[in-house]
Amino acid sequence: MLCPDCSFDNIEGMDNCEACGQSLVKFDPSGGELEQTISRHTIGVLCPSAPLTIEPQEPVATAIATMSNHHVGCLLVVDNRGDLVGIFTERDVLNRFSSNRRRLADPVGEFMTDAPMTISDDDSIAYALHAMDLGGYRHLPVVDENNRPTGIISVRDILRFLCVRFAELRTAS
Amino acid sequence: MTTELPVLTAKDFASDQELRWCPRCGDYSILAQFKKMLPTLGIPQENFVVVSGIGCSSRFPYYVDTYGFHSIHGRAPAIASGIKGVRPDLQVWVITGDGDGLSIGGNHLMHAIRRNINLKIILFNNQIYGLTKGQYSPTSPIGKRTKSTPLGSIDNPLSPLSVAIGSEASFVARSVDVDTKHLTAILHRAAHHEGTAFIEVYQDCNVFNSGAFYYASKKGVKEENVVYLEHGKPLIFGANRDKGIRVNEGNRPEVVELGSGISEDDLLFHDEKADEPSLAFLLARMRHPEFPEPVGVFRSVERPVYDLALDAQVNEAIAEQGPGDLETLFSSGDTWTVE
Repeated sequence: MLCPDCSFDNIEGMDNCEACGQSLVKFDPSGGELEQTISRHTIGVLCPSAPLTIEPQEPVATAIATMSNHHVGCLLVVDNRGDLVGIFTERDVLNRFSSNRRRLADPVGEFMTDAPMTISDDDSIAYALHAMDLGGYRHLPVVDENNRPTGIISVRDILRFLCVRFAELRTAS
Repeated sequence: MTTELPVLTAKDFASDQELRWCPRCGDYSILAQFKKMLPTLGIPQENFVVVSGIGCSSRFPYYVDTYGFHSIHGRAPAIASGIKGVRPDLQVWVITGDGDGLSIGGNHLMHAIRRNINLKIILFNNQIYGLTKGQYSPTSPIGKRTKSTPLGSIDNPLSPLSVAIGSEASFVARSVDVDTKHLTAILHRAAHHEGTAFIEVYQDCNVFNSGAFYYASKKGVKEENVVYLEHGKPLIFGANRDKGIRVNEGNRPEVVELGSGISEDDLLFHDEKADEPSLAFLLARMRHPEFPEPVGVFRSVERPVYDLALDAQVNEAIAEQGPGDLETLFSSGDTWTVE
């Protein structure tokens, strides 16, 4: 059992952590399993999908066709250096493009959400949920320290993970 | 007859209270280093007091087996000052956060520091209000989107160290929650300082503000973004220790590459004992990404200690006028009876 204080891996049932002495009696991992799961696990365990990207000057028609052909809900918009500059999602199609349907040839950059919220592989799932709730997002780009996209996660990825996790917990108990 | 004092260990300072921090919270690391440091001070366990305000940081006293107060929002420095005033023999630690200490508690913090009361203040800076689920704080950067700043913060953030130095702090330091050896060393130095010791700790809130300090904590990244301060030594950083900080002709710091005509002698040398706080302030203003951020002891100077001076005044007054009686004091002067 991992000590929440110093992360020492104690034998199950220990009353006190062998390394730092912190009481483990009142720390009940099974009682807060959801909290444990989403706080301990990082985005990396979700195996973020490889992002589909498009440059901002590409026509919005191309963006919509790409999303449709690949059955995805969003594209990451990157500049010619590969840096993330925006995100174009189904919601942008509905909210920004649907009233301008004649503008199929216009650049997707005019319909994207720029400077999107991003997360990194090391961030916790809890933080990703907070970010989604904060912005009302269903997708979050995963970037490296240079703001280059390395993947994308969706709220569905998190739901899928939690379903698997709960099944594991039921089996274990 | 002499009584041998027990040799304390970190385990002696572990409490039996239920831990309520989120898993992977940076507070755990700070707690662990704190408990490791306390036994090394040679102070009896009952002579420690930990006083906190309100916030995630402020759950700290529950998890340390010492005397403690989980007090009211922002007032820990005031309560701690009172403790030191009547019991100067106790070692008193104040645990606060960027919200508790710099928002509602800014005033108390400033006065405790400027008085140089012998308190050890640790400010857990996670740039967010964590306990209340993610509102921006006085240290949140401009543009930070949170529950209370959906369009991005338009507040200019405070620098805790700038506030401390501006309040005439005699000991100012910064460390990072996961830099355990460094943090322990800084806590140790603070414990031994005579007067107010102020430590800012970069602390990761992995639920509401994850990654705020990755640049200063992640191995392979922090080497280019952090410069370790050592008294009397030049400011050198970088994975290959090939970069330094010097002050240019405009009296502004600049990052330079060593070699090509620039040697270590051209760099800024740290002086934590400097009488004037200007150097410490200059270092405190160096912010990522423009500069590597300094960690370590920015300033450590001697100043009269308030609680000792207070104690001396009280003793002098007692010597001249006798011990005094509270009941007599209450009934003296202009009094009246309400019937």
